[in-house]
Amino acid sequence: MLFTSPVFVLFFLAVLLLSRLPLNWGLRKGILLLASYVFYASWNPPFVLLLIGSTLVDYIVALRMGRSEKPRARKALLVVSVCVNLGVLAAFKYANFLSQSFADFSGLVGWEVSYTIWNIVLPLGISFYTFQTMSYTIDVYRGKLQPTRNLADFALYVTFFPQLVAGPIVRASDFLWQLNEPRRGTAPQIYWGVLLFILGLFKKAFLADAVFAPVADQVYAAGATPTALQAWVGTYAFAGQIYCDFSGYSDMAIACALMLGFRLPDNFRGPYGAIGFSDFWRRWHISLSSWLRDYLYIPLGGNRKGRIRTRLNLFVTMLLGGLWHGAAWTFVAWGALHGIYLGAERVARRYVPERVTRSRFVKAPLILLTFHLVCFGWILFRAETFLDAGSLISTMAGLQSAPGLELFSRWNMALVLAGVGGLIAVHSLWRERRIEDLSAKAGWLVTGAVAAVMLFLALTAGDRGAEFIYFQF
Amino acid sequence: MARVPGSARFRTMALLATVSIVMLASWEVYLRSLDAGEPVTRAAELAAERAHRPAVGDKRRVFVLGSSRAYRGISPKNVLEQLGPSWDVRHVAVPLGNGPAQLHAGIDLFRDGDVAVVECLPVATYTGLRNDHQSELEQRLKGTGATPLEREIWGWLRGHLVFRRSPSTPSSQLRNVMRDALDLGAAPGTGGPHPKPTVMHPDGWQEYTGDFDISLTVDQVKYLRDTSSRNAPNAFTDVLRRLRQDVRLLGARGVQVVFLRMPSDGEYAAEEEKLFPRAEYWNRLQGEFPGHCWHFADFEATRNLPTYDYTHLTSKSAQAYSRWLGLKLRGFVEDDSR
Repeated sequence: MLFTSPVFVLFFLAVLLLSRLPLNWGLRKGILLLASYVFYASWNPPFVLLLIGSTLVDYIVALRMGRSEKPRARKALLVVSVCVNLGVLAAFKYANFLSQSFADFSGLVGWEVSYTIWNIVLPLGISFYTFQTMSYTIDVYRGKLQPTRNLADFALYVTFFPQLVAGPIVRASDFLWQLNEPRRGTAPQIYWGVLLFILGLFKKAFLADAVFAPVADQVYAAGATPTALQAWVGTYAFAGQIYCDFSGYSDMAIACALMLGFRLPDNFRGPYGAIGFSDFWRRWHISLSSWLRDYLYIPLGGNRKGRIRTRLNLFVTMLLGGLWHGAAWTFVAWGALHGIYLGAERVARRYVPERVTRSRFVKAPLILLTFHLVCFGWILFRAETFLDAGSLISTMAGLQSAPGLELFSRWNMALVLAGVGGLIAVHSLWRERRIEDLSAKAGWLVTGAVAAVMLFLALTAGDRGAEFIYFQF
Repeated sequence: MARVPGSARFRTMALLATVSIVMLASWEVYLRSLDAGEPVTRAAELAAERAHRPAVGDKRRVFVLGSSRAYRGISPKNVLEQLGPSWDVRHVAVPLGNGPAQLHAGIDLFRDGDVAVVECLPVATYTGLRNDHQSELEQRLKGTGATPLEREIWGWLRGHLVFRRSPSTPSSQLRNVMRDALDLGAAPGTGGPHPKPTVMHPDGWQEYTGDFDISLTVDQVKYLRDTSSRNAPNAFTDVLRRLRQDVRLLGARGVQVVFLRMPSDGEYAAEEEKLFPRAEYWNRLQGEFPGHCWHFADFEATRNLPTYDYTHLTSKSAQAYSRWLGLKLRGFVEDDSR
């Protein structure tokens, strides 16, 4: 049940209606919980049991942790939670990757190891909800959060359908308190929810699926032989596609929650207007980058243990962040590349005064430089193998010639360039502005007309049946 | 959240609703006025729906992947005559489709006991060519597919609203207007020439009911020359590498894979051999997967089947080919189970 499908719209309208019935809050929360399980079951019903299992383990562990005063017992409970969550993730997501990698490395040192490929189906959203429940037990362990006694509240926090399958990754401290008081979407919340949903739909159905995906898919297809120009345009197209696909999903998730009266954290803030990589990661998949910062980078020592250790911590954090995205060495390399970027930026900042980077004349080239280095990373992210990535990079660098097949039309190329140029311009010009403020300032006429055009383009773009890219993670 | 007065919110929503309805209605009226006899459902959508259809009982499934050579040349009914009622044959091919790429995109569709029949159209398989149908099909195969309720609702919407089923979009119309204005000629098509006298069977076989048509052969050969590239061996090396991984993964899941080179003849076949010599292409595939690659020229029953345009089988030859394929598949799976 994709956010872009008419079934979801019907499902959501039914849930919205039920959530507004004059029933007591406990019952309405029960309806939301049931709706969330139905939503998840629409993909693969048996995996609801895994979701329930994960919920129960962390609920019980946190409750016992809250009751215990002994540091060792609390630590042991935390280890149980982390092992169960990471164990489930490893079993479903990384088992084949680990066994194949082990066999490959063994082969490199001349030790032939045979391995089995297990027939494992990845449960939808597993990376998101395991990180979410882990953050809860870690916060309880750290004493930052009191464990909830209400199992239904905790289950709703884990399964709340707008953010269940692809985030944003919500902290318990940002959500559980919202369940204490009865909630219904207010008129302003429903108003912003509708506009935000249309924006997300436009990004996904029109920009990601109709403008960017056809070009990116051609260039990154197995066996494709693009020319240098096609490879560049395809890489720009993927940069546009992944942003519009993922931020479109996040917008729709936040919008649905808002209409139900809940607030979810922002996940994107104009990432292609970033100046440098620490700025980029403050703007891209914010809920994941802040999770990695709080639960990995800072526990590793953060920037408190000297320059070299700081860079190492950054590198390890980004490396594991890359692995979180997918069970492939290309994702690990993508993470490592961003770790190197962040380390190099720290070195550069020591030699370049901040007033220079704040200068208007330097900002634009720095934004473009950051964008292009991010695009370089996207090649590793999108390519299925290092060979594919290497081949594309050498084509882009003009080191490899291609037959010059027409992979896509000049019209598609123009749309991609205009789309990506537009994204960079919008993100750069409105770096510190929120969409709500811009809309309020623009007035009802502009807001209504722009939203109508977006809705029209989204509905007439031609459905290609594409799922959201981040569903695979 | 920025404060917006209630009256402004109301006006925004009223404007949004009015303008959206007017634009969608105008677009619908415009598309109906074109009345171009556009297909009710796009080829990729149909193919993906067949692929995602739930299994029927304990029936083992055969997925036929590839191009129009497959969906015009293979009749599931005739394949089933040989295989028996415990099988379910599904067409998942699109015009100018790329069979190996479809196998890769739909890898999570296949289950223990399935057989994937991958038809390899040289111009697509060896060059990595993808048209719009193929790209869309790959997207749809990667997904989990629509639930029965979703299929019902989508079907209803498509049945009543042309803009939900039409391949025309505002963007494509704008492109055409601009091409006309700049006198650039027709936009690049999404496939080769399309013959008219066909019957679409419910099982996905598109039967060509006409006779040999020399005008079609001219178009086909021209299209092959225009689309192909001699500089393709690198692309095929990549294709082979990926196929090795995919077949291994599928083998671990209990899925068998068969590669087909379906008949072509006349000038088209000569051009194909010139562009993609068997020794450099098909034989490499055969070397990778011995016993799993069935070239029409290697079998008496399929060597001389006539086509109607040098590249697609006539109705009679399609039925003969399908029966041969059914028989061959039966032997193949029986050998494997022993």
